[in-house]
Formats: sequence, C-alpha cells, structure tokens
Amino acid sequence: MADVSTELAGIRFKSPTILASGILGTSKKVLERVCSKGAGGITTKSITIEPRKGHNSPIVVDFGGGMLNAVGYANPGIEKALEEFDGWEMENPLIFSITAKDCGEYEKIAGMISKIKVSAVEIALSCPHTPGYGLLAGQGDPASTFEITKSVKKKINVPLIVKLSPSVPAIGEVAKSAEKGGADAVNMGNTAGPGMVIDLERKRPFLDFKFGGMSGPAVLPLAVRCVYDVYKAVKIPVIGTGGVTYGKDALQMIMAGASAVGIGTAVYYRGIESFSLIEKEMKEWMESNGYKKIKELVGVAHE
Amino acid sequence: MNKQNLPDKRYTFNVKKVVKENFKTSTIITDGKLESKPGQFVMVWIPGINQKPYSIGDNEPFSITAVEFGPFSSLLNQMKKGDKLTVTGPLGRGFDYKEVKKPVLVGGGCGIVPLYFLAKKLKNPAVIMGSKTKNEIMCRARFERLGIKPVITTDDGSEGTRGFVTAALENILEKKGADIVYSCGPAPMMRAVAKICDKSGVDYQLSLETHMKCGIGICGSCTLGDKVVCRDGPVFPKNEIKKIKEFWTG
Repeated sequence: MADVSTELAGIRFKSPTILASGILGTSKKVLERVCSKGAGGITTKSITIEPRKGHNSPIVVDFGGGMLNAVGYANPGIEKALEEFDGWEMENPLIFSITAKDCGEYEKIAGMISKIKVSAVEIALSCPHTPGYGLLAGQGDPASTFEITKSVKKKINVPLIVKLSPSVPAIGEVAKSAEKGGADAVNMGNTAGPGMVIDLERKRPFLDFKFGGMSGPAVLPLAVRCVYDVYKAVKIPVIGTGGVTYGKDALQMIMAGASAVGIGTAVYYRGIESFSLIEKEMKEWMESNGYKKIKELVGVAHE
Repeated sequence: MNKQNLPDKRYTFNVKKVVKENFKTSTIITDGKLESKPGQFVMVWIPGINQKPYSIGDNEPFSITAVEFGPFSSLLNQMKKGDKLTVTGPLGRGFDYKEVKKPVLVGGGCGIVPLYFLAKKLKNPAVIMGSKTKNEIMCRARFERLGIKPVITTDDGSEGTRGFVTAALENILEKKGADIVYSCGPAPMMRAVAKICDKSGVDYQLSLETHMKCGIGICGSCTLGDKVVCRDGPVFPKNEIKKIKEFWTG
C-alpha cells in the first residue's frame, strides 16, 4: 500500500488532506467527525478577538465551476473558541487559524492561543472579502506579510503557517517575506478573486456582500501555479490549497511542490467523505505508477 | 452527509396568491413547481436584505409559509400577487415515508408547515397541531381539504384541547397506536414527543431547526453535536436523534 503520510514543519500527518480554514470549523465535534472520516488534519475557522456575525446571507453560491463565498469571518471570538477547542485529543493535528486587523491585534490574539494545545497556528493574510482584514487591509503585500509574521511568531511556541492569496502579483516575493518573518510553512492559498455572481432574474449581485472569494475546480490551475512559484521561492514547506476535489488534483499540487493539500469546497461536492476518497484516489495512482511515498513526488514537476 | 443534493439551483417564481393564515402568518403561493420531498427546505433570498431557510409548504404549486417575527419575515408577509420569490433548493434530507402504515404527524407552531406537504403523501395520517392560542393556528383549512381533521391543542385552551401536543399524542398512541411519528416544532416540544415515542416503542423522525446561513453544509453555523443540520438533516431518524446529546440537553 502506498504511504501517503507526510510531515510539515515537524508535524506528522497520516494523510496529506487537511481541512481548510472556514469550512465547518467552529465545532469541535464536527471537526472530530471530519478527522474520523479521513482528514489528515484540520484547520479551525479563522478566529478574531471579538465574536463576529459575518456578512448577511447569501454568503456562498455555486457558480458552476466552483463556489463564491463571502462569509465575512463569522466566528465566536477567541475566548469561546479556546474553550471549544481545549482538550483536542485526536492524533490528527489541529491547526488554529487566527485573523486580525493589525500587528498589535495579531500579537494579542496569538499570545492567547498558548492556553490550549494546538499543533500549529495559521494566519490568514489573504481574505478577499472582509473589510479591515486580509487583502482588503493590504495584509497581502510583502512588507505587511513580513511584519505580521514576525509579530505572531514571537508570541507562539508552535509552528506558524502563513496563508497567502493566489490573487496578488509576485507571489514568490510574498512567500519569501513570510519565510523571512519566521514562518515555518506557507499555505498557498486562500480563495481567489474576489469575483461576482449576478442573478439574472433579480438583476443584482447574488452574494449579500456583492463579491466573494472563488474556490473549487475553476481555481485549481491558478492554485497549482502559485504552489509551483512558491516552492521555487522558499525552502519552508508548502500546503497547496485551492480547487482540490479529486486525488489527481492533490497529486498536481504535490508535484508542484506541496507537502500537503488543503480541502475545502470538495466537502460541498463530495461530502465529508472527500478526505478518504481523495486519499484513496492518490494511493491508487501512486500504486499503479510505482510510487511508495508522497515524498518521492513533492516538487517533481520542477525537475 | 449525503451528496445526492448538489443543489445550488436557484429559481425565481412569481407570487400567484398570498393566503393570510393568521394575524402574523402568510402562505406565499407561487405559479410554479419545485421538485422536492416533504421535509426539505429552501433558502429564500430577498435581494439586499438577507437569505433565510424556509420549509417547503407544498411543491406544486410551490409555496412557503412565513411567521412574522423580524424584518425578513415581515417583508415576506407583505408580499403580494405578482411579486417575485427567489429560492435556492430544494436542500437537505426530507422525511422518509416508505411503507408507512399508521403515521401520526405532530406540529408545533409553524412546524406544521412541512407536515402538510408530508400529509399529502400519506394515507389517513393522524395530525396534531399545537399553538399557543386560537389566533395563532395556521394551515388548518389545508388539512381539512385533504379530508384530515387535525386534533387542535392550544396552550391556553382558547381552541381545541387545552394543553400541549404531548397529551394528544399519548392519547392517540394509546387508543389507535402508530408505527411512526413525524414531528416538527420547537425543540422542547420535539424532545417531549421523542420521549413519549421512546416510552411507547414507536419509531419517529424529527425535523430539527438550528441557525442556518449557507444551507449547503459548508459554513458550520447550524451544527448540533457532530451533525451539520442543513445537510445531514434537517430531518433525522430516531437512531440518529438518540446519539445527538445536544438535542436532549437543549
């Protein structure tokens, strides 16, 4: 049987499929279920200092080639989230995702996480649809990425993953800034865009926030190219996120240079079973092509 | 989670008729048909305002029923003939009613709405509808048109039997028996219904309500225990209900 276990910044994953932040991620019991259904690891929804209601619905829409979402960081706030995720007992790594408006706020929230046991902290510098955060606050450029990464890094005692946007120019430079700031891994990446869907009958943008981040099959080639660029630019490991729905998609990410893959929108298409299905499909391909370990495939597209 | 519903299908209907159910409730009847199963729901979109989940009241013509308790439901209650109603759906898992012989339907408040759609598919179901008071009763005439005479209970005794649906349910189970109870309504009511069924050894399916935002099993706002209510449910069978601790503790 092909071995799909992987290692990233010193963290072991039995499967390279990691639940991406934002999907189902505010309930410990649901995340435990996701793990029991085959996810190698899970990422919480991005948590802010204060609770956030997020945008009004519609927050998500299927546009045919994928999904467009503008959830707006709906989350229970750091205090409730720490209570919820305290005492994580699964062996599948728990990645705690946070987001904040500036370095000061990032430091504050990062400093609170050490109260509970998590495998890594992820910072999302790349949300395309929430005013005051991510791309809409200019956090995606190289200088801000460096500053925020540095601020968070000194406040935590577990590996730091920096999640980047596929919709910025010179993504390699941004990844380098994250590495220089002390990131232990890069998650490439967030949703793309933003994009817009207009309802013909009502002649209005469908999402309440009007625009949102694109995910799903339509963004896979964009995400694979970004992973390829980032792998070339930095030495730290890369998580490839964006449009992975089938095992063959995950393998493209791995060949581009990812050590693990983020899974999000696939949950919409294939249910929570996505994780075990993708893993199975990867193993089948590896076996019929004579590969025993994922590691043999990481970055082979560069050779 | 099941994947049979990859639903993101959006339909805009024309409103054909609005029926006033009571002083704060309207049924919006459209000019179209929505292929769907009883117990499934739609996300109703009012552009620029919000999008909220509503039980499917009927599939042909497609209708929903809205009780006014906030700005969104108030707008639905102001709808009139010729307006547009845009919905995404059908969503979620509905009731399973294959080979059912003696069903009892128990609805509390607007929980009666999806049970009417279910009643249309069943032979001679017994129906219990509970309301706080006489002027909050809804959908009664619809059941009567199907030849069903619902047992009415009101908390204050202003109509039908005074008290909760539970006494009426115990009465029916004792006198006529049932092979399954379908229920939709406030959580405390459904807990009581489930307990009575458990005691009598009767099967049941409940339609649960939690705060849904996306309706397609992604955002995680409607979780109950390890269930994603909008996609795993909203209808859950007895064996699954038993395992949802959060349902029983409220």
